[in-house]
Amino acid sequence: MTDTRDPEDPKLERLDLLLSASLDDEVGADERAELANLRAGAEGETAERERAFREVDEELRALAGEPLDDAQLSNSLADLDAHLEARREGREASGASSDPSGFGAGPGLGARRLAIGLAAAAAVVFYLIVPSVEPPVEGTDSFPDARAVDPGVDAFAIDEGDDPSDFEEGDAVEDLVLAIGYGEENAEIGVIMGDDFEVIEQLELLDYLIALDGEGRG
Amino acid sequence: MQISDPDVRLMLAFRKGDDSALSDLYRRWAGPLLRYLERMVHDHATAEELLQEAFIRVHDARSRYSPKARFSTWLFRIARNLALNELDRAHRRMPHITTDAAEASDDTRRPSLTLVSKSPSALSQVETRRTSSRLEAELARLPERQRSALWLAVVEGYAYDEVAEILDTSNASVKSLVHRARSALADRMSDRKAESARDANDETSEMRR
Repeated sequence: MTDTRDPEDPKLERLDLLLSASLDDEVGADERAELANLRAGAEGETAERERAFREVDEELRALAGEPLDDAQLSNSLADLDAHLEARREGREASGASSDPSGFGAGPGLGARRLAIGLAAAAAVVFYLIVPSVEPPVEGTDSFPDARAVDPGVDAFAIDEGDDPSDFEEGDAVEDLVLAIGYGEENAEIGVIMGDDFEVIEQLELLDYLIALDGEGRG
Repeated sequence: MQISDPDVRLMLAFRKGDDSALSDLYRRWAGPLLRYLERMVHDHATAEELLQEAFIRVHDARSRYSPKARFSTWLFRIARNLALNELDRAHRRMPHITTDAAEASDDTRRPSLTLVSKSPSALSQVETRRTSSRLEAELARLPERQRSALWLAVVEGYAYDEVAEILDTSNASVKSLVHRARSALADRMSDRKAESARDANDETSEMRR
């Protein structure tokens, strides 16, 4: 069948669309009538296509399988509880603890966001106070990296789940945040713009803070 | 939104401070969300992390929650956005590597909860797995929006307007996305069947010689 189908044929395209929608019970009265007309014109082909669509649906549903058994679900739920508990304890300690579970890959995103935000704010202030910073030279580390601009992010229009861990940050920034004593609930800093991060990169502020942190530990 | 929706009731209870309501919501939705996330990121461990993260977001957003839509559409939307961020991040971490989703999903060594079959016959189990992994590979080759739309409509059983809400698009767009995904899979599966039939014929001819 696929050998003889012309994917560019608008009539077949329309038939596919209506067949697909009818399988999901998403056709209106007009479309139902239109589908009936198209069926009448190509009964055999329509039936074959409908069967192929149904096969796809059945195999997809078979893929879903058994997602989680009771033991897996219990373990997974215990993990969630542990994450939440660790965060709760971290807050109660007013951020004085550097418990890594509070800043791990999962639950610590708010704190990381705050860390980056504070670093960015410091960078902006520094940038305004010291206007005589030399422009970056191409080929040096301080030259803005083309990777910092990713058109894909805008295209997705993501409104949940933003994660600043794309940017290099070190323990020093987190320690700074903890020392200041901000909680994660204060993590939303609306005034920090994307351009600010470029400024941070240009000023190498993070490297500076990481170096300070290294010296402190050394 | 009807308050009779058990998810909404649970979420409202959780907003009022009943922590066990979040556990109940997790028990209800962890499975469907995990299998959706596996199709998004093609990696079980990452999908599990995103599942946890999605519920942490729900936990954090409880005070802002208002029952305007089904709880699960909101949850899936959060999960999808987290998955998109993860994919974007992974892409930026490895800009020099060409990501071939189909290749990744062809790797049958990857443990996947969804491929576990409870079929009694070993042979039929093998056959089921073979078909499943083929379809899994073809599914992974689809553009993300088509894949999501088809999965949410066919497997999770969402109406097009709910899928539209999750994908942040229009009803008409969902209709088109589902149709293109379904047509593409039907064509590819049909092509593969034709190939298998040709291979079988060739083998038979070889044996006769």
